[in-house]
Amino acid sequence: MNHYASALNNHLPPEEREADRALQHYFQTARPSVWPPAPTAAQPAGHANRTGLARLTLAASLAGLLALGWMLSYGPSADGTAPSPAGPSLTKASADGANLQKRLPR
Amino acid sequence: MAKARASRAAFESLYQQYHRDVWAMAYARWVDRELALDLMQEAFVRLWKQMERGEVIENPRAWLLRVARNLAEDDAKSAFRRHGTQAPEILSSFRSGAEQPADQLARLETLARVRELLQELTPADREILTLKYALDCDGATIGEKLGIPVTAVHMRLSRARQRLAEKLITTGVTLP
Repeated sequence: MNHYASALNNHLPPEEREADRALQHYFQTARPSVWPPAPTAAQPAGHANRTGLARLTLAASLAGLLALGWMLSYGPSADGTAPSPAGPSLTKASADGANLQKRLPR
Repeated sequence: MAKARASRAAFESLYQQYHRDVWAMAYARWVDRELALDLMQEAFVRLWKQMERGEVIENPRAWLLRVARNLAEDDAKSAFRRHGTQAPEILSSFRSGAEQPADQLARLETLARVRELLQELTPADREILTLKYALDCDGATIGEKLGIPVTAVHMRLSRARQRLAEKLITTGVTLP
């Protein structure tokens, strides 16, 4: 607290002095250290900017998830061939897995 | 071209005159420095767009405060949907100097407690305290901004300090 503030504080009733000190202390850190320059219309405020960025990130994430899901379902297999929609290993497979094992690559 | 320059100069002049008032009002609503800065900037962007459209605003200060108040209320509603009754605690909005970690932690904790107590005060109390302590306005200036006599300013400041003092005592918050 500076000298001027101390002098002012002494003029306050005792019950307000601690609150005054707390407020001096608090607002010393809470006030902006640097005021931003005047904005322009082409420079949206941070608040709107942040909201826009968040929406863009969400849209990109959703698109990525959809693309990954599509790749896993219909994308090329490890040997480079496109899988048939029915799935190669399950054609005519029985519950004991005999036919399934025959079709697996060795 | 000259008209655009004049308009921009008029806008810059309004910004210099009123940006602190708009910030103080937004801060009193949210008790969040960065959010108040964002709301302040957004209010001025809207003013600039109005001026670009050639619309005349009779009382720019009142217009800006009303826009900022509406923006703060909209933000409060969306924050309520996101977080419940209060905005999230933002410790990062405090500046830190070259302190020892333990001292810094204690100081930040005290500031966060004071911030919580400020949030319990009314917006009117917070507004007058913000004008006094954040913007260093004297009684006459505060009276002019709020449209009340200087005696009323001192009375309201005193009551706001007393209410905070009671809360400091009740919660046991002491300054380092």
